Amino acid sequence: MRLIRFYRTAIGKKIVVAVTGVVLFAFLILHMFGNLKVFFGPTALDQYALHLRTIGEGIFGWGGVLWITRGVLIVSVLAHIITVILLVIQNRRARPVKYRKHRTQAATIAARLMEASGLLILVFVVLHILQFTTGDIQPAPVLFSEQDGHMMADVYRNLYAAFSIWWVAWLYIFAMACICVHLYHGGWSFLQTLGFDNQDRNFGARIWAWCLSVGLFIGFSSVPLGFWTGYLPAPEGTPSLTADAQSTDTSETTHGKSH
Amino acid sequence: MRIKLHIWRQNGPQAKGDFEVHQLDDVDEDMSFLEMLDVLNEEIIESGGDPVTFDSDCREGICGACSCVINGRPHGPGHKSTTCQIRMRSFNDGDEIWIEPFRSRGFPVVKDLMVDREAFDRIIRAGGFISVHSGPKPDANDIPIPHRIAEEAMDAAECIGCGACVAACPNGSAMLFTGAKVSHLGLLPQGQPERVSRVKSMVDQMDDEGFGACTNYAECQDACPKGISIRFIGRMNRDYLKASLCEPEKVQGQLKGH
Amino acid sequence: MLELNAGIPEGPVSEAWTKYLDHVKLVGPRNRPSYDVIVVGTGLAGAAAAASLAAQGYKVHVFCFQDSSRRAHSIAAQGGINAPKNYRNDGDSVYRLFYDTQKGGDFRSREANVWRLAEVATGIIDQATAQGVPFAREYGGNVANRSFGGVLVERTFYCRGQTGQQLLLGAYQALQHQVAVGNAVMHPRTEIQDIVNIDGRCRGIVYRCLKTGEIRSMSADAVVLASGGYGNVFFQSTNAFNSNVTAAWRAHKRGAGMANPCMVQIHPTCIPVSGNFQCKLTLMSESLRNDGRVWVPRKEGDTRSPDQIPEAERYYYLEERYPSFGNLVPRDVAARNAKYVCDDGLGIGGRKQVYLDFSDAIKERGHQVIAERYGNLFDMYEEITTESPYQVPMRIFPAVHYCMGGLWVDYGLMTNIPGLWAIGEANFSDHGANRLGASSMMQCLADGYFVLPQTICSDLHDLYRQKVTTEHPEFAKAEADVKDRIHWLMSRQGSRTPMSIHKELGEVMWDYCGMARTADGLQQAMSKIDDLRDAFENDMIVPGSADGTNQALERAGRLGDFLELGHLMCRDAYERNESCGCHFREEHQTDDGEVVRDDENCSHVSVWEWKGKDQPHELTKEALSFDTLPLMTRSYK
Repeated sequence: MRLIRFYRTAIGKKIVVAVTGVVLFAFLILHMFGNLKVFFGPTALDQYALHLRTIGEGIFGWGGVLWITRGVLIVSVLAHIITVILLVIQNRRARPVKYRKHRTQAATIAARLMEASGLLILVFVVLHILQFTTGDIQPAPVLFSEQDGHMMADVYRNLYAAFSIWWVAWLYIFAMACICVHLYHGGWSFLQTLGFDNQDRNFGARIWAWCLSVGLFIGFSSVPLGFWTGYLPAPEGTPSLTADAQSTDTSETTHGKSH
Repeated sequence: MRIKLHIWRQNGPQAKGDFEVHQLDDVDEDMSFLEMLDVLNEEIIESGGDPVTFDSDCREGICGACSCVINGRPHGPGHKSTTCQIRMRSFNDGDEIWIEPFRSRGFPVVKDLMVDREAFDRIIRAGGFISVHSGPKPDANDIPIPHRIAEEAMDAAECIGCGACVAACPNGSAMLFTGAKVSHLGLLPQGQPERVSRVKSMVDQMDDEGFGACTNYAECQDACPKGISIRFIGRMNRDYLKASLCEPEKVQGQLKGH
Repeated sequence: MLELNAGIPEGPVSEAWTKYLDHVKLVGPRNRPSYDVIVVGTGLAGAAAAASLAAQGYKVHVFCFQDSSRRAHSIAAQGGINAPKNYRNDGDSVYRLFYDTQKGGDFRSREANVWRLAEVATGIIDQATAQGVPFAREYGGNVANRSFGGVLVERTFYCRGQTGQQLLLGAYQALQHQVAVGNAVMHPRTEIQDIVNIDGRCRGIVYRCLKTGEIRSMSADAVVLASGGYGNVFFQSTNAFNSNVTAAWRAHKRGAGMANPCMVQIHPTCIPVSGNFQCKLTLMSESLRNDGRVWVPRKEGDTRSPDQIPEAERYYYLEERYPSFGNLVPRDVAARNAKYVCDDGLGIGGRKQVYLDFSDAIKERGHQVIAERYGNLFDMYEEITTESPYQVPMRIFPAVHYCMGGLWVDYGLMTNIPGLWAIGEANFSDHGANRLGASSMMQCLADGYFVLPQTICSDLHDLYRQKVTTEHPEFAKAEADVKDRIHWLMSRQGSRTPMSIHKELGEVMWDYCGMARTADGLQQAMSKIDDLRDAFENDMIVPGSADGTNQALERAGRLGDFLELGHLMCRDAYERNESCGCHFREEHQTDDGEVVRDDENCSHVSVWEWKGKDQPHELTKEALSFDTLPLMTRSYK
């Protein structure tokens, strides 16, 4: 009851957006560190992927913790998005007659782009999951193999295959730029919303948001850049794909999602 | 100097409004913006027209009566100033000036550029006070208030209730206004007994008035004639979070009107 | 002749208020909700009174013309509020504040009222603190004080430069609390048009809704006017754009006595008029004269820039004429002398302005010190004039600031019409012929929080169950009068706008009934005002319609009252054949331009009675006595 009343107010919603934002933020940081394993070689990365599924196996079963995390993330994403939609509706209603001339003065570009960047991130996340998690979209063939008695995607191979395609790499980097912009505002905004910002701390809070968002951008983007530039080597046992990604694409689709 | 004015004309709250063009050929640059409108109105009256309705009173930037969005900025081009403090020298010869009312669901247009800001009164009424009756009170020095707290409370209390924060906010949010009052009273020792009920009722009332939600654009802080900081919004959020989730649900023996 | 009985309890003034409270007839808490009280105006006095009465349980209806009661012009008061708390241990006491106020008022106010003001003033600070007014605090957490013009103790409490704002918001919040509780009802954007008397008692008002143009009535058991001063009769003043005399004047026309209308304070340091479109003058704090030197060029028509004028060719007129007080002479003296030099053609650039020069102070004390003391004022000045007072001298000129005169009230603050009360600047009470700095807020809040809420029951207690509703024929009559008047105004289709006539009235008032007055000039002024009334009646144009918002109509209505008031002010100034405080009759001055009071013939309050449209007012005098503080001469030499 109390929670519903809290959620009904604009401030309650804002706080929900802030808190779920923080959860997603934390996830991104972990995700990024996971991705960076790629620079330690295919084995390190695939081991990491396997590890994600075997943590707490004794209690939650194989992949149990991963699914719990996914559950939390799904709830957070849904809460984040639905709440934002409700707020946007409230905000649109608050000004039925628009200004003929309106000049924003103080808002940062990131703040003004929150809705747009959020929407693009949503589209990206859907594509991202369809591509790397479920394998529904395959610009490059997604390979699965059996590990520990379970079918798992071959992470390094798949990354290599996908990011060797120039537009996949650059779309990914563009999406990371959206996340960067979204988080530059979000990283400061949640501090402000939760009342941690003030005049003395404002500069620090802004720097923190900048470091965080740019750090994530660099961290995430380094992976596709690494593959695209060829800095990261092709996985063993795979013929070089850079020559003609398109042709191999069609020939190996049998390894798809049917597993 | 020559000025071309596009002024929003609207005959009543329900009427449809539109811009009307006026040309002024001899504007003194030392004039205040509102004096320029006075002169325009004199000309309109003399030529048998209907003068432009706009609010103003103290004309020194403290009463908060004047409003207007001038060229897309509430209170016009100045920094930390109200419409009545704007001088025509802030504009250039030959400029076109667009004058609109503050636009918000919470501020219905009365006529032309005049809006009603009674919504703010209702927010204050919901809890923006300390319940004391008139009469003998403890000495002002009985409860010492640290200099820093008094100054911080004063920073928040400087709000003139003009509504520029709402007008400037892309979301039409009244959180700076509400946050300033919640913080002013919440900072002082005298405001503690009602701190929980105050923030809850004021926030509820703010939503009921149809204002939008804050997305931390900080436009309000920039438009505020008194430069009130958005840190007071954060303060209110935290107070609200604490009040609605951590404090006991019911205040026993609540008085009417809380 | 009006029957005026101030009703001050017998005995020493220091005991009068206690005695009054001990014997006043009370209204019990159960009965209070059945009494309706109308409060007109929501400034410090009105909001405080409305909140206090509602908190006691009376049913209060509050009227203001602004969209919110928080916008009343009390909000613009800057400097501070006096209270003899003696926090600084510098010898302050109730008697000292009484002494300063009585002497500052040049012995033209009632001793008992002034004493009570001083007595209740300390409570205001405590009351405001309890309401959450963030008074400036010292590092130890105690309330800070500063000193203010013309007194020897530090008794002024302040909230930065916005003391009036904070005190008003305190009262406003208390009032809104009462609205939430249900004891008070707000009627914003309404303007009182008339009061309604039934059987010799004020029983209600007729008002116009400024949004719809509707004329409505409301009945009540008491009507409190807290509608402020009438400084806008001068067109240009430091008052708010919409401040007006209408409420008080309509009450006056229904029988309320108008006391000392000629007593108007002119503030010496305002930013001069910059063009003929200007109506609002901006005040620069009096404190500037602590470091600024006032001068004009000695040569008439000197067009050189101030730094080109050598020391010998500068006329530091205050320092020369008042060697001991110099630039720190009281407001009225400083204002008058600025007028004299400008009348002699010495005003800067031939205009009505004089220099207030800080270059010596900056040389002597350094830029830093001056910036700390006056930085915000200098910035405000520069914003308006584009000239930086750090580089070039400020230009200043006196402007109309405060009205000591107003509706006559007795000791309990009731006018001579039973059931009609006047508080704050709207009454004449406590400031005599001149008001001291930081004491207007003190008086408004004293009236609103402490005096009226405890005196109003004296008149209400026996009214129980004698209700009058707006069905009474007197209301219909009054409403018809108001509608006729508005219809008459709307049918003016001449050529002159209300504002242009008002502006001309202001010029006449300023020239003849401003800082210095002569019998001859005042008579001229009266005939000029008659001409303006003729223009008002026959050559004015009022645009638009009366159904809905029509600011020109509002202005025209207020102007009609200002024209009548202006005439009475000249008459009052003419009849008061002496100089005292701000009322300076050139015939009555010492050789060096000091005021000369005529205590033998003029120790009275002049109370004027309306006798009808083309009839002259009738004067009744309320004699003043000086038992506690004997009469003395103010001297600043």
